[in-house]
Amino acid sequence: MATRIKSSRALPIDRKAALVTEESFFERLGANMNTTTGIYNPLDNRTYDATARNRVMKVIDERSSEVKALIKKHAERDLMKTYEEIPKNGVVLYEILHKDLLGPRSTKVVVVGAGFSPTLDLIRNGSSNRRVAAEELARVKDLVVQNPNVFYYVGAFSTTSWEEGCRNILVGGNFLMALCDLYDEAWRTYFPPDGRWRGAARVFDLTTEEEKIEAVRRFARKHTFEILMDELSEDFVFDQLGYAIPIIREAFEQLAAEDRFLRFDTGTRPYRLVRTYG
Amino acid sequence: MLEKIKKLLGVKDLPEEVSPLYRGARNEREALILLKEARRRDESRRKRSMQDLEILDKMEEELLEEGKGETGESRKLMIARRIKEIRWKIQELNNRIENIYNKRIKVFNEHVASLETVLELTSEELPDKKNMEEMAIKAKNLLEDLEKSKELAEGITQSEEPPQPDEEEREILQEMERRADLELEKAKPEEKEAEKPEAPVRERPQAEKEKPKHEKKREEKKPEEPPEILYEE
Repeated sequence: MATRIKSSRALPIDRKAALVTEESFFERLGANMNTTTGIYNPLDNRTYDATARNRVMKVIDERSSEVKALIKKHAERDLMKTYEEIPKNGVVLYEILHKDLLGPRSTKVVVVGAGFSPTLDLIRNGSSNRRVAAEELARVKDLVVQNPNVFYYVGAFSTTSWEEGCRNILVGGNFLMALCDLYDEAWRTYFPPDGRWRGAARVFDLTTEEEKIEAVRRFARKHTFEILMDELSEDFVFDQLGYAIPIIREAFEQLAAEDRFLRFDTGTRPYRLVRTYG
Repeated sequence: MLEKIKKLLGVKDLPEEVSPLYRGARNEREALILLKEARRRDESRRKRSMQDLEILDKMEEELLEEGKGETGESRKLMIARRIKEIRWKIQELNNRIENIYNKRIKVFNEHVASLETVLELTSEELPDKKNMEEMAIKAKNLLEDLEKSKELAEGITQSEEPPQPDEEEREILQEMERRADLELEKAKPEEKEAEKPEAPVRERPQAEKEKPKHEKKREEKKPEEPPEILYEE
C-alpha cells in the first residue's frame, strides 16, 4: 500500500485566463442548452420541452455590478482596463416555460449557469489560486433560487476550483447544483449523488467524449511520477477529473498501445497504467 | 548458426544475452542486424530508465524540502515514508540499469564490433593462385632491386674523398698560416712584460669590458692593428 500525500494547491490563474475560461464556460453551457430537447422537473415528475421556443435566456448583472464596485474601491489605476480584463462573475438563467391547457405560460424549470472568481485577489494582485468558498456559492444560490414551485438546476463554475465545504450545500428541495471547474485544461463537473438529476446532468457536462479521452491522456502524460509509483489507477483519475470509468479505460488503452513503456494493467482492480521496460 | 558464429569469433561459449539472437539469425549479416536492433532497444530502455530516475529524484528532493518546513509530526512521518518508497524505486531502477542494460549493451557492443570485423574481412575477395604467384615474383624482384640499390649507395659513400684545394686556395691557406705565426710571435714579448710585478697594470675601462662578442671578433680579425695594450703604453 503506497503512502498517499495530498497534492499541493493549483497554480494561480491570472485575470485574462480567468476571463477566457469563464466565457468558455458560458459558451459551452449555451451550446449544451441548444442541444437539449427536454428537461425533467422532479417537483411534478414531468419532462418539459426545452427547445428554443419554450426557453427564455436571462442575464443577471447584479454580480457584475459588484465587480465594478470592487474595482472602483480597490484598483488604483486603469479601472476600465481592469474591468475589461477581469471575469464578471456572470449569472445566466435559462427559463423553461410551459403553457398548461387552461392557464398562462409559466416557468417550470430553470437552468442556471454562474461564474465564480476570486475577484478581489484578481484586482489587487492580478492573479490568484484561492478557491471559492461555500458562503459565496450559497449567496448566489439564494440569489437565483427564489420560486418554490420551480425546480432549479444550477451549474456553478469556478476559475480557481472549489473549497471542500461546497459539496455539502449542493442539494435542496427545489434545486440541484453541480460544481464545474477547469483543471489542468480539462473541464470537470462534480454532480452530487441524487436521483433527480436524470438527463439534466448532461447540460453541465461541458466536454465531448473525445475531449475527455484527450484530457485523460494529457493528465497521464503529466503524471509520470504516479505511473512510476504504480498509482495512476482509474480511481485516481476519476478522483481528479471526474470522468466516467469507461472513458478513462479507453484513454489508458490508447496510451498503452502508443507507448511501449506503458502497460494497461487489468490484473487487479482498480485497473491502472504502469511502467514497463519490455 | 551458433556453431558457425563461435568458429568465426574464435570462442568456445557465447553469452546468454546474444545466444538467442544468433540462434534466430540465418547468416552473419542478419545476426549483426539483430544485435544492433537489440542494442538499440536496450539503449532506449536505459534512456527511459534514466529519465524516470530524474523524475523520482526531483520528487524526492521536493518532498525533502516539504518535510523540512513541516511542523506536524504525522505529516512529517508520512513524507518520510513516501521518500522511503521513492528510494526503493530509485534503487530498483539503478539495479536494473546496472545489472541488465549496461551489462547487455556492453556484450552487444563487443559482439557487434567482432561481427563487423569478421564481415569486413570476409567481404574482401582473395586473388586467385596465379595472380598471387605473379605478385610474389614481382615482390621478390623488387626486393632484389632494393638490395642492389642499397649496396650501390654504400659503395658511393665509402669511395668518397675529402675535397682537395686548388692552387689559389692553397696559397691563401699558406698566407693564413703565416699571419697566425706572426701574431703568435708578437704576443710572446707582451706576455713577458705582463709578468713583471713592478709594472702597474691599468684596468680596462668598463665600456671596453662589456663590448659585445661580435665586436671583439671583428677586432681580432684586423691583423694590421697593433695589440691594444701596446697602444696604451
